[in-house]
This record gives sequence, structure tokens and C-alpha cells, in this order.
Amino acid sequence: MNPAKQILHLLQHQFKLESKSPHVIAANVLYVVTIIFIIYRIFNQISPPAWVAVFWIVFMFTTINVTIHSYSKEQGKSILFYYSIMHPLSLYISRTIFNFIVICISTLVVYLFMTLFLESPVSEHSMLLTTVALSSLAVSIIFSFTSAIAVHTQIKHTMMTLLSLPLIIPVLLIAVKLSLVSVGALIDDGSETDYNILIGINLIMLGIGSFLFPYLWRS
Amino acid sequence: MSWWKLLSVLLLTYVIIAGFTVPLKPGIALVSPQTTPSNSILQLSIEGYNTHFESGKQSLEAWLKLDSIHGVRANKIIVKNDNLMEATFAIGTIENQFTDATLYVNNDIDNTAFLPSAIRITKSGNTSNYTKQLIPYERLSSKAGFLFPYREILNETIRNTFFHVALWMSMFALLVVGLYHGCQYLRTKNILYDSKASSYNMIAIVYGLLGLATGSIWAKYTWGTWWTTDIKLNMAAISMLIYVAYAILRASVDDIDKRARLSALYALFAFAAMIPLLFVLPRMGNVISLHPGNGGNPALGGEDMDNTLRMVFYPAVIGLFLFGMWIATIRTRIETLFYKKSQLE
Repeated sequence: MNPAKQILHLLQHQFKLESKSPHVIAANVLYVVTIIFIIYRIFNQISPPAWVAVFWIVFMFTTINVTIHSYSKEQGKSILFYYSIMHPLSLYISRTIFNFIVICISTLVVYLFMTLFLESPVSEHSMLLTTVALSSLAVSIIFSFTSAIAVHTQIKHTMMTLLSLPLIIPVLLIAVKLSLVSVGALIDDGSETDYNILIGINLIMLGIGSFLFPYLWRS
Repeated sequence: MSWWKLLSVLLLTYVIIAGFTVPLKPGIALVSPQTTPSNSILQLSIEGYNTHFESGKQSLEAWLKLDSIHGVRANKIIVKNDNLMEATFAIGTIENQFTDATLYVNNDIDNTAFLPSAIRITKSGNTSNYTKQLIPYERLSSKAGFLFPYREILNETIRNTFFHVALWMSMFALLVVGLYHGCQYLRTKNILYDSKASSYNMIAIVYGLLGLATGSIWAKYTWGTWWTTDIKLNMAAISMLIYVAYAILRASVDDIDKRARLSALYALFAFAAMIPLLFVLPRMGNVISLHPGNGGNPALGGEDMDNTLRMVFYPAVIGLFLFGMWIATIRTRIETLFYKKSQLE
């Protein structure tokens, strides 16, 4: 099988697995709704900078929550099965794409519910959309790698958070800055450089992740 | 016993003794008033540090520098005690809107103590016939001998250079060694490299935490807060978060080979993830750093480090690095023994 086919096949398999357990999706949506409802009850009225801060904090924890399941389903015999027929790189890429799609959908859910409860202050939607897309990609590249490390430990969920959060700080810093511009809370004409930095982070992390992942998968 | 272990102990002993006992050069701690109009008589009260105004009364002179070569000499000096004096200057016309004059106090015992921008002279409508003279730079030289420089704000805390800065430098060197052994492990799968890598990283974490602690205390006494938004502090905090996560990762995996592989990979991945920070943090609007070497402050090469400081600082870096290496080798041996024990069982 060529790599593209492998990736496609793995993605199909992943979505099939996901559709078998709708309660996981429901649980994640409820998680988001509960958090946002609590925030709404705490703040009632929220200023644009605070909205941005809350949005990214919710984003951070939701993405960790939805990606931690990435590899845990494949414990046991199926790991050996994958290892024998698939190239580890296809596995990494397919997992990154899957995580990217899942993170994008969950961010959309976060955004919808934050708009419902807290009114969106966003004036430049295209800017926020690009930022979310680029940072979701960077986060999924990083999380696909760290969750593959974390599943081997005894405290998966905590370990995942511990390993990933320091690594996504650069992405979050830039994303928060761009979002502040998109809600009009910050005036800055260097947004293009920020986009370039985000793209650069994506490329660096994808490069080093693809280089190191084969070593990680060899157990 | 290896020579370098002995060397590290000798160097650290020297650093602790010299670092804490060598006195500071005479300096000027405080002057008042801080501003004065031009063409007026200025009565300046000067507070010295480690100075001998009383004992060196005979040769005592004070100068205020007005431009690069000219200044005014104090025409009357009243000495109150060794660290307190009052000087009277007759300040003439200045060319600019204002001048930040440097103060020099010179006597035979202390040689020259100086305070840059001690007083601001502002242009006034007054007139006078006070003149300025050439400053006798050939007579003004700071006290010779093995003494640390006196710096405003820093005062005695300048000794922390040997501990705080040296800890960070040797920590960085130890981390690089740790990363190298991590790569070697991935290449060869020899468990010895993993013990080495983890030992170097662990001692580097200890150094890093000590560096944060010494820096925080230093900041409290010089900048007034325990923590600032300084770019270097953020980098330090993030790298400490990563390496503490590394330590916890190692503790939570039981299988030796798996632990070695995961931790080496995480260290490498995290190292790559930190590279973008160098580009990201300057864009966050906190480019100005209070640390030397940023925002126009001189760094190790500039006047912040003089030769006396270097004579203790470089031994401190080398001593701490070798000491860390020593601890790392001991820890490597312990790890290897545990590994052998687990294989026998």
C-alpha cells in the first residue's frame, strides 16, 4: 500500500471506531457546555480580552480532552497489527489529520456555545478562523506526538496535560495575540508576521515529529 | 580520584571564599539634591559606601563632570564622617537644556569613587561668571587591587553574579550534554547512555531551580519584585516546566527500555518546540529586558563585568559544571547498579 492509501485507510478506520462510541462525543460536548455555562454564571458580562482568554483556556482543555483518546483505543494486539503492516509515519500523519478535524469541530462547538451564552465580540471572523485553523493544526501535531508518549505511562491523562501544555505555549501566545486583534482589543499591523510564525511552528513541529515518531513507535 | 573532581571542589571553595569576603570598591550610594539649576551654587550632600572621607581628608576632592572633558571642582568640602560629606560647587552656564553630571570623589585612600548621572543640571535664566575646568583624568582612577566594583542598586548583591549567572550557564551546558547522551541512546540503544542522559538532565533541573531561586531573591532586592514579565524569566519558567514534566515522565514508566526511549524522544521534541519561543516572545511586547545584554544594557563583555568579577565568575561556571558532572556520574553509577540488579532478579 502506498502512504497516501495507508493514511486514508487509517483515517476511515479511526472514524469508524469513533462512530461506534457516540457516548464519547456526547461526553465531550457536555464537557464543553458545562464549562462554558459555569463561566457564564461567573462572569455574566464579559469584556473582549477576557472573552479571548476564556476562549483559549477552554480550547486548551477541550483539545486535551478529545485527543487523549487518540492512541488509547489501540492498546494491545492492534498495536502489533499496525506496526507490522503500516509505516509509523502514515500512522502519525493520519492521527494528526484526525486530531486536526476533531479539534476543529470541538473548537466550533466551543465558539457556538460561547456565542450563545456570552455573545461573541469578534469583529473579524476570517482572522479568528485562520488563527484557529493554524493553531489547531500545530496543537494536533504536538498532541499526536505527546499522546503517543503519554499512553505508555501509568497516569495517561495527567501525563498528557503535563507533557503538552508547556509545548503549546508558543502557539497559544501567538493565537491569543491574533485573537485580541480580531476582537479589536489590540491594534497591531504585524499580523502577517504572526501568521508566518504560526506556519513556521507547524513546519518545525511536523518535521521533528515525523523524524522522531518512527523511533517512538518501535517497541 | 579524578583530577577534575578535586578541581571542582577547589574552584567552588575559592568562589565561595572570594565571592563572599572580597570587599567592594568605594562607591557613592546617594546624593541630594538630585536636580539643580545652572549658574548657581550647589550644596551637595554625598553618601559614600566603603569610603574613607574622614581619614583621607587631606587629599579629598570632588568633581562634577559637565561635558566630555570639562567639569567643576568643589570649592568647599565639609566631611561629617567616613561615609558622609558635603561639597559645594559653583556651576556655570551649560549648553544643552539639561546635563546629567557624573560625580567623582577622589582621595589618596579610596582613589576615585564615582556615580554616573548623579545630578541633573537644568538650564536656567540666571547669569554668573563661574567657569569650568579641565578634569584631571590622569589623577582619577578607581582603587587598584582585588576588589569588586561598586554598582548602584546592585550594591553587595553583585556577588550573586557568581551563583545566579554561573548556575544558569552551567545548567545550559549540562542540558546540552544530557541531550547529546539522549541522541546517543536513540542511536545505539545502549542503556548506559540513558542513565547518563537522565543524570545530566536531573542535575540540570536542580541547577535551574536554584537559578530561579537565586534570581528571584536577587530581583526582590534590586528590582523590587520576586517575578517580572522579563523575557528571560519566561523562557526559564517554560524550560523548567518541560524538564520537570520530563522527570515525572521518567518516574511514571516502569519498563526500563520504554522509559529510556520515551524520555529521550520527549527531551528532543521539547527542545525543538522551544526554538519558536525565541521568535514568539519578542513579539509579545516585552522585548525590554531588565537583564544585562538586553535593551541597551551591557552584557558580560561590557562594563557590567570587570576583570575582578571575571576572576571569580569564570571559575564559578567551570566549578559548578564540573561539580554537576561529578554528581551526574555518581547518579549514572547508581542507575547502572539498579539496572544490573533488575536484570539479576
